Amino acid sequence: MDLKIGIVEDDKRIREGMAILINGSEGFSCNDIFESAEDAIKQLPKLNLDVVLMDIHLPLKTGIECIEELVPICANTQFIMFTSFEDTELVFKALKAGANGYLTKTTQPSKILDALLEVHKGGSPMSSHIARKIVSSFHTTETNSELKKLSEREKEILNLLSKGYRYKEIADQLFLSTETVRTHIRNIYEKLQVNSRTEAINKAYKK
Amino acid sequence: MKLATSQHNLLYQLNGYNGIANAYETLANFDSAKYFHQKSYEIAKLMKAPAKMALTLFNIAICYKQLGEYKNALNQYLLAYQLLEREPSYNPRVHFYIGEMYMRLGNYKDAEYQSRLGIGKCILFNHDYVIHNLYINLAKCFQYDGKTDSAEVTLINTLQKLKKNTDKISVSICLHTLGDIYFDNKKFDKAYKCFIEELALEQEIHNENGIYLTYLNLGYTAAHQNPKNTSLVQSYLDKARNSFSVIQKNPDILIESNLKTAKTYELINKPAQALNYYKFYYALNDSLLNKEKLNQIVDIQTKYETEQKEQQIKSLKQSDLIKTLEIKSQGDTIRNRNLLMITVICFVLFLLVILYFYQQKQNIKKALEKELAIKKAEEKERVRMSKDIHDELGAKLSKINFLSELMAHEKNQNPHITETAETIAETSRQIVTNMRDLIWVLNPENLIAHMREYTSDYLEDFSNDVKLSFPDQPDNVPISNESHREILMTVKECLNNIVKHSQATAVKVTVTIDHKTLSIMIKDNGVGITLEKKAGNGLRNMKTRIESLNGEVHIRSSKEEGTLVVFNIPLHKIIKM
Repeated sequence: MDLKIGIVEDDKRIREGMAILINGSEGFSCNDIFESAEDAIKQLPKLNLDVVLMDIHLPLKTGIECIEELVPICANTQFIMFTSFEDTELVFKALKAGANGYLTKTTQPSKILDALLEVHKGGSPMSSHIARKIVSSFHTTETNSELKKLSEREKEILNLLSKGYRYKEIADQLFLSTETVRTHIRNIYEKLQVNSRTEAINKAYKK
Repeated sequence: MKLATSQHNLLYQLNGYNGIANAYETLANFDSAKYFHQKSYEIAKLMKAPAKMALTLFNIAICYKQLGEYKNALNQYLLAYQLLEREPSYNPRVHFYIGEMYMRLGNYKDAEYQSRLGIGKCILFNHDYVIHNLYINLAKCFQYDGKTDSAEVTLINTLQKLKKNTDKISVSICLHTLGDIYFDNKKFDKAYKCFIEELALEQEIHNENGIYLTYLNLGYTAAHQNPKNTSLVQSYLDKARNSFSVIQKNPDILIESNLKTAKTYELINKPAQALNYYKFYYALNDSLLNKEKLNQIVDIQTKYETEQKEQQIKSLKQSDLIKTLEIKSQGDTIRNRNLLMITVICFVLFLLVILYFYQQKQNIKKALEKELAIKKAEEKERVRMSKDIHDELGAKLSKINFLSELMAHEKNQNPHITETAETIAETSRQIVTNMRDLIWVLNPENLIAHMREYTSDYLEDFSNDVKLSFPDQPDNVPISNESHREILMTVKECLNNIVKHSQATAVKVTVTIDHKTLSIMIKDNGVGITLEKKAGNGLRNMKTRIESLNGEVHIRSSKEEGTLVVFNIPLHKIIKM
C-alpha cells in the first residue's frame, strides 16, 4: 500500500517535478496536485490522503490559512510545509495552525522522501529555531494554556533543542530512544496547535 | 555752714520777692503781687520756717482780698492759722482776718466763732490791740444776727477803749462800723455823727478809701435825714467823687459806692444821676458775677478738660495697648505672610528645578527615542530587504536547486548530464545556504545555538565520534549581526575543511565564553594541513574574518596529531551595543 501524497504548489515546474519524484519512488504515489489553497480546500477533504506537501506562498489564501481550514476536517492527513527556505516566524505560525513538519525546497530529494515517511509514522522534525520560538512564546500572553502545560520532560527536550542539540544527542543525553524524543516533540506540536485547532473546529461547525 | 549759707541765700531771695510783691501792691497790681508773694511762700517752704510761711500766706490773702476773691483769701488765712497755731509767733489777729473773710462770704456763724475765739486768745495772751478789732467783727456779727443792741453796746465799749489808745485806724474802723450799724438801725443822726467823727480821723491818717467811703456814707445818711437838703448831700457826693480818683479800686468798694451813690441820688430826687450810678452798679455787679461765673466756668471747664484729658490718656493708653497688640498681631501676620511667601517661593523654585530636570530628561528621552526610531526604521528596512531577497531570489534559487536535484535524480540518462545536474544542484544549494546565513544576519539569531545546530547537523553523517561542548546559556550573549556572520562563516569554513580534506574520524568542537572572550576550539585527528592548503584561500579568509573582529587565530597542525584551530575573539568587540 503506497503512501498517498498530495501537493499544493503554485509553481508548475516544481509541483510536476515533485510529483514525478514521488511517483518514481517506491512506496509513494502522488495523483492529487493543486495550484491554489482554494482548490485544495475544495478537493482534499474527500480524498483522505496520507501526507500533503503545502507551499506557504500561494496566490490568494496562504498555505497557513489553507491548513487552518483543512486540519480539523482531514483527521487522517498529515501536513508538511514546503517553503523556499526556513522563515522561523512563518513556520511557527504554520505549526500552530496544524502543520506536522516543514521542509525547505533545497532539501535533497532523498531527504524529502525520508521526511514524508517520518511524518506519516508520527514523527515531527523541529529545528532549534522553532524550539527557541516556542520557548520564548512561553513568556507571551498569547501563548495558549495547553502549551504552558508542557510536561517537565517536554520542556527539557525543548530546551535542548533550542540550544542546537539534535534528536540523537537529546536521546543520548536524556537516556531515551530517538523514537521517544520524536513522540515528545509530536506532543509538543499537538499542544502548540490546540488553540488554533479549537478555533478552526468552531469555525467549521458555524459553517 | 553750707546750710546756713543756703538759708541765708533763701532769705535774701524771700526778701527780694517780698520787695517786688510789695512794690506791685503799691501799684495796685495785685495779680503780680500775688504771684511774687506765692514765690516767697515757696522759698519760705524751702526754708522750713512756718512763721515766714504764714506771713507770706497773709500777704497772698491780702492780694486775694484786694482782688475780691474772698474764698481764696480765707483759705490762705486758714492755712496760715494751721501753721501758726503752735508757733511762738502766734497772733490772734489771724482770727480777725478769718472772721472778716467769713463775713465777706456771708458766713456770720463762723465769723462770730472766730471773733470769740480771737477775743479769748487775746485775753489769754494779753493782746489789747487786736482784741478791739475782734470786738468790731463780733459786733458786725451781732448786727447781722439781729442783735442790734448788743452790736451797738459792743462797739461803743470798744470805741471807748480804743479812744484811750492812739490807734486811730482802729478807732476809724470802729466808728465806721458803728455808723453803719446806727444807719442800719435807722438812727441816722447818730450814724451821721459817727461818720463825721470818722471822716476827721480818716483825713488824719490819710486813708483815701476811708475818706471816700465816709463822704458817701455822709451823703447817704444825710439824704436819709433830710432828702430835701439836696445841696448838702450833693456836696458830700461831689467830695466823694473828687476823692474817687485816688482810692484803691477794690471791686467791692466800687459796687457798694455806686449803689450808695445811686440810692442817695434817688433819695434827693435826682433820678438821672441815680440811673447813671445804678447802671454802673449793675454793670459792675454783672461783671463781677460774670467774673465769678467765668471763674466757676473756668474751674468747671478745667475740671472737665482734666477729666477729658484723663480719659483721652486712658483711651490713648488703651489704643496704645490695642496698637501694640495690633502691631504684634500685624507682626505675626507679616511673619506668617513672609513665611508663607518663602515657602511658596521655595516650592516654586523646587517645581522649576524639577521641571528643568524633567525637561532635560524628556529631551534625552526624546533624543534616545529618535535614535531608537531611526534604528528601528533601519532594522525594518533590513527586514524588508531580506524578505525581498527571500521571496524573489530565494524562491528562484530554490527552484533551480530543486529542479537540478530532480534532474540528477533521474535514472536511465546520460551520466554526464546527471553529473552536470548534480553540480548545478550543489552550487545552487550553496548559494541558498549562504543567502540564508546573510538573512540570518538581518534576522538576528542566537549564534551559539545556531553554531551548535549547524555543527551537529553538518557532522552527523561524517563521523560517529563528534564531541560538542557548548555553553549552557547561549541566550545571554547578544552578539552583533556582523560578528555573527563572520564567526559562523569561519566555523563553516573550518568544518568544511575537515569534512573535505582531513580524513579525520573524530571531531571535537568546544566553545567557551568568559566575561572577556569568546573562544572556539575545533580539533580533528586528521592528516593535518598540507603546505599547499596553508597557502589557500580558505585559511586566509578565516584569518581575515577573525582579525576584523580583533580576534586571534591559532592553528596547530601535524600529520600525527591532526589539526587544532583556535579562535579567540574579544567580547567587547562583538557584543551588540
